[in-house]
Amino acid sequence: MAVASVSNLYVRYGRKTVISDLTLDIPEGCCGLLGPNGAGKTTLLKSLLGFLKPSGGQSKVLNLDVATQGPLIRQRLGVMPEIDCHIPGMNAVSFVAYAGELAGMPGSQALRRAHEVLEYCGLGEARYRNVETYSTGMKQRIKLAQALVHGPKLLFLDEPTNGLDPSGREEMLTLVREVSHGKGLNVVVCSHLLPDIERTCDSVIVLQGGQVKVQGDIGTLRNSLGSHVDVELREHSPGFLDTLKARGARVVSSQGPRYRVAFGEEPKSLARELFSAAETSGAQLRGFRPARRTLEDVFLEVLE
Amino acid sequence: MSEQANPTQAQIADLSYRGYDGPLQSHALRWWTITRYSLRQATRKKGYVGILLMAALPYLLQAFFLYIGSQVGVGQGGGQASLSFPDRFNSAYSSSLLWLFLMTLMVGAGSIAADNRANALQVYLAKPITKLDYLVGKWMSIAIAVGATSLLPAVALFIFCWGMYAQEGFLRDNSTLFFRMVGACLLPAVLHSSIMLGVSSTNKNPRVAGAAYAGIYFILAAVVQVAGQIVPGDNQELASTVRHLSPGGLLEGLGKHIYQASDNLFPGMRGMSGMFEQAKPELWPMVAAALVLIALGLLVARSRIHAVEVVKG
Amino acid sequence: MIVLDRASRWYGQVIGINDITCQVPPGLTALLGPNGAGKSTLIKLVSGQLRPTTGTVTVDDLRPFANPKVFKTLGYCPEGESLYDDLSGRDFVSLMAGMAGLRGLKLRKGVDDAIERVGMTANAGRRIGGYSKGMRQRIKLAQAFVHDPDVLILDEPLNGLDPQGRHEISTLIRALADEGKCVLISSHILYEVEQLTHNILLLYRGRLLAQGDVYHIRGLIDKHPHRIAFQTAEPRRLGAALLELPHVLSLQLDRRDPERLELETTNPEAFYSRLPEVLRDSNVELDGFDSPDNNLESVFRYLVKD
Repeated sequence: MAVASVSNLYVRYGRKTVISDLTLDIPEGCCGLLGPNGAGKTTLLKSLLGFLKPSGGQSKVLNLDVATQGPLIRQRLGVMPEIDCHIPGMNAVSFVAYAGELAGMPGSQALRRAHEVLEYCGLGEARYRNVETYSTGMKQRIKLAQALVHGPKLLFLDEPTNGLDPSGREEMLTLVREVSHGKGLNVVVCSHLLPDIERTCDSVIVLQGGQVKVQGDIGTLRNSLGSHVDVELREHSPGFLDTLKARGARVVSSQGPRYRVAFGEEPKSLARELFSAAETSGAQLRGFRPARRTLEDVFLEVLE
Repeated sequence: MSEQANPTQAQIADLSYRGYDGPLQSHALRWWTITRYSLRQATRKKGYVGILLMAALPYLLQAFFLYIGSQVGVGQGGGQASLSFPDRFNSAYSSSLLWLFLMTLMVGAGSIAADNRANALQVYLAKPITKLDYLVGKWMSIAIAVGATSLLPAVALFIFCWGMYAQEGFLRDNSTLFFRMVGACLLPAVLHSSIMLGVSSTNKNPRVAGAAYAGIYFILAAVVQVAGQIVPGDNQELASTVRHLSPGGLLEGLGKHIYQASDNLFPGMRGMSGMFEQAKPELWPMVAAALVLIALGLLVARSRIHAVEVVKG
Repeated sequence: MIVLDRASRWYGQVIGINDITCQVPPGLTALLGPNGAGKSTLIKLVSGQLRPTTGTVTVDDLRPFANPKVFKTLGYCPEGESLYDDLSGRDFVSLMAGMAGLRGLKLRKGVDDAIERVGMTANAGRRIGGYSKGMRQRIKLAQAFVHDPDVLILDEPLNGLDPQGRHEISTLIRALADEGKCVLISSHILYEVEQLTHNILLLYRGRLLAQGDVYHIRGLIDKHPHRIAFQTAEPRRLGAALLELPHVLSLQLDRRDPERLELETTNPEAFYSRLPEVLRDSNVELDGFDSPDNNLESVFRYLVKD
């Protein structure tokens, strides 16, 4: 079952048509929504929220009609916007509890959930501080907390790791991965950072010019690259590459002591072939793997 | 077998994220949530109680004068006591207007402006909140704060008068006074909150929004004063009406009509411009002007609330 | 070349950077560190917006603080998004080029070239106010190198760009570095940094924690337990064989992936050199192996333990 679906959707800003005749199903689980700037990702999300009136077509979210059941949909939906946003003049607990009440929770339940969700998002110790004093990382977390407080069935995340430092990004991705798996919560993530999508999502939809370019399971999209192998040495060794070339392999790309190698004819034992080449040239093999396409490869290929 | 020994009693709870399946309320009174939270924030501000007391002071003084009058003079004797009750209420009302205006600024300047700065609309509108819920909620929070500030001391004075003069037929002689009072006291709440909401929605900075409304309030007052001077001919009524066409003036003028106060305010009261005026301003132009201001404020606020940021250029 | 010699900077009682001595050579160097590590302070010192409290900072032998001369050799792409919204992209780049000392034909040509290199030729005439985040990023970058400076400081230059834009701008940044410029780029996106350069400058709590080539840095922390993951049809047999090696600290099978074996070793150097012989003797067929610790992200995580 699709968590959201649109059929023959048209959306215009003034005279500019951003989405024309888009038909698409967002699958259950965690789905990445990708595309270059101006591809219509944000527009799609905004029309699913009912913020934009489409000039044609139909959209459904959680089997509810967007045109007529907007508030009902938004009650089952959590949104983490891209820009910094909060309710001014409140500490974190009242902000999140307020967000819960706005979604329709009774006051006592909202406060209880606010504490629970803030703990979960790692803001337990900072929950009595005014949100205005928060750092970038904390602001991202509180945006997630206010989106989760009313226990939505579907979550929209717009650039959830924006502005986070490496450890902050790591923690955010872990949170997103966790809430989207086995908690009865479906997630749609918009991001320009494809490795983040790779880590959190099960499937992706790539939009361009308001049209679906590619849609599918990440695992399937990243299918292996034939006989390409990624090889890593202790340090860069021209001798190793020469030995491989002499045995009929081709070096596709190299970066420091890391190479992508293509074998003309699949060797009987890849491991033995590589270890012996290393031994011959006096290099130390530190790893090899059959190469897989990254999501970035897929993305750039599709949009060519 | 003791309870602890029962293996089925042991459990480890999963404390990670869980969904919420508790009750959710219907959408009907969602604006009230916004009003309640906004009011809670407003009443926590410094100076709130100060302004509340200052706005109550004119009513307190009236009560004080009545009390003194009843102690010193006999019956209706004594200078102050010669005023009719509606005149007293009107006088207190017009003296408290400035404080009601300040209350509006304090409670209302940031109502939407602060939200604009913090991008709070992104939070509100992603929840099951409509634009109308938001506007009604914000409007009510200003209206309730201002209305309470103006109405509560008036009601207190009314009860005081009732207690003092019940035997002398206070209720019989002033049968409509209570309703007039409620109407007059709610008028500033409605007018101020509508204009303030509009001004606040056009700004990102609460201070600037406050300054902007203060500017509108006082500059408009000055402009209509000047305009009143240069009214052609010797039409006192028209001149007086024109002079009342600012937010403050309208409230004062309409208050006079609602209380059916006499044209001459007794000297020595705190009414400032009132004591120089002879002619009563006309009702309908003022009603029209007030309606225009209210509509304008609400329309501006409505047009400024977007769920989607508008990209220019 | 950027040289810091025992440079420190305080803000009142708060320390921004603490006693940093380093050289940023020509080529591409990444400035890394968690939030609050002192990256922005360092960038401000080098771009002349701050004076070091103690020590010296020089850019091509010039002291950058309040020194207009330095801007002939220094290009700076700030992180913020506040630009002159009412100017067109081209006017903005021209203005900055003029301030850097370009005149006449040279200015016009420089501006056109820079705008073209960042891929903004089609949109250069539009108001900056109407630009998307990615366009702003591009135009900011154009103004940084329009006057062909020797030193370029780029603060989060890929922020807000879409994947294609990131690819294009990364390529451009690499090209600028290959021209012999000294490019210092700050970023939080470690896998992108890894594709750009191996040369890093890692700040932590105001101090210089590590600098140099990531692979060398990783070599320096080789004495700490190091994980290696194997993919094979016979993980148990491989594990038994590997357990014979003296430096193996632990072996772990994976609950979810029955073909995966992960081990920890205290001496990767010795382990890797003995590995071929163990594989040969045990005759286990290996489908792949690598070290999950062997990337910038884990080096960073190891060094910066919050």
